[in-house]
Amino acid sequence: MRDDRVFAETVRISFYLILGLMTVVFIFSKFMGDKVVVTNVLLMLTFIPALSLITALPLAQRRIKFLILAVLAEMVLAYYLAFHS
Amino acid sequence: MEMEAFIFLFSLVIGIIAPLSGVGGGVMFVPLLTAFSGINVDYIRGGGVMVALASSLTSSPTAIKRGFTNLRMVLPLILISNLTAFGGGYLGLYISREFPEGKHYITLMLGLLLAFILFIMSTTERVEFPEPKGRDKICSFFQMEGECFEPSIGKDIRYSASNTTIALAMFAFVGLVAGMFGLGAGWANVPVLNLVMLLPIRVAVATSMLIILLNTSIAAWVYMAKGAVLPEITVPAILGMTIGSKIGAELTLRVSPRIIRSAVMFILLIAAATNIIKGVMGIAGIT
Repeated sequence: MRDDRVFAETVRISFYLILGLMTVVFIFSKFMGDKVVVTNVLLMLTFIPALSLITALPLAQRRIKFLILAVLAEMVLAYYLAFHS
Repeated sequence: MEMEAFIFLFSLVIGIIAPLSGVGGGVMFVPLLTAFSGINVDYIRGGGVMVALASSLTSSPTAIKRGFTNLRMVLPLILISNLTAFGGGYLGLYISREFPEGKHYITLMLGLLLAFILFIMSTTERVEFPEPKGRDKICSFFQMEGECFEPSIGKDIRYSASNTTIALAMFAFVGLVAGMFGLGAGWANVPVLNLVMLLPIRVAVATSMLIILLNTSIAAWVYMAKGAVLPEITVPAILGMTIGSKIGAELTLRVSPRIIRSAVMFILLIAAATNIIKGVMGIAGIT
């Protein structure tokens, strides 16, 4: 299915991009003593699943679209409860 | 810097042997580091969640492209286990922070859980190609099926999910435990997918990794919000695990999986015993 392929490709590309960024930022943070930027990059890593689901959404079948939207809604709620409650 | 180097090498070794033994990285990272380092168990569990996420981000794209799993197969399961993984993350942190001996109870429970995982690993027979039952309503509605090329027999196979309702209840419990202890839960996902949902073993392993990918970020946010994800632990662990799992995937073809599996079970046995002793001593006030 095209939605699966787009999902997989988004995961692969974003993971290696963020992994590279995380390594560079971590090395710099050792010299600068700033942990906040590294934590923010780690937070970006946790957004990859949601981002990949969003990219697969337009290509998914109707029933799967419903499931993707439900999972994304759960993620938004969990994020809100974790950081803003 | 010494701690970062230690965690990097530690995760590199785990990353190499985890794919060979058939267990995920998280289930080895958390108990072993808790048993053999003086780092606070909350920070180790926070790192463990991120390690589990990184492992699944590395392996899932290839498995999806080869057809070993797909979104239709995992989304109904994720909908349930996401909720319990989130609750589990909060429950684990609540116990360790609100009770005076909380972190010792968590260490003890981790040891007991590990002993249970070892029991499952040693007693569960994996079935290469289980015979699927008739498709149930949930499976038919969401088309929880697929097709892939199976290299061991050199031909295409079709697979579909069975017993979906029972599996959903099991995944709810697995999500809770995974969130609570910062484990990836591949140790529990794979037997449920293989023996209850009757999916071929290769499909079960790939589907388990995709489940971990989609529900670990939720548990990670709980740990991050509580300040339990430390870059000094997490970044070297992710780098070590990513490099190690690439090496491990190459070695899979050269080393006997049975020997590696036995070695891993022996290491986990030591970790289980150490965590139980540490937990009991902590609760009793003996340090």
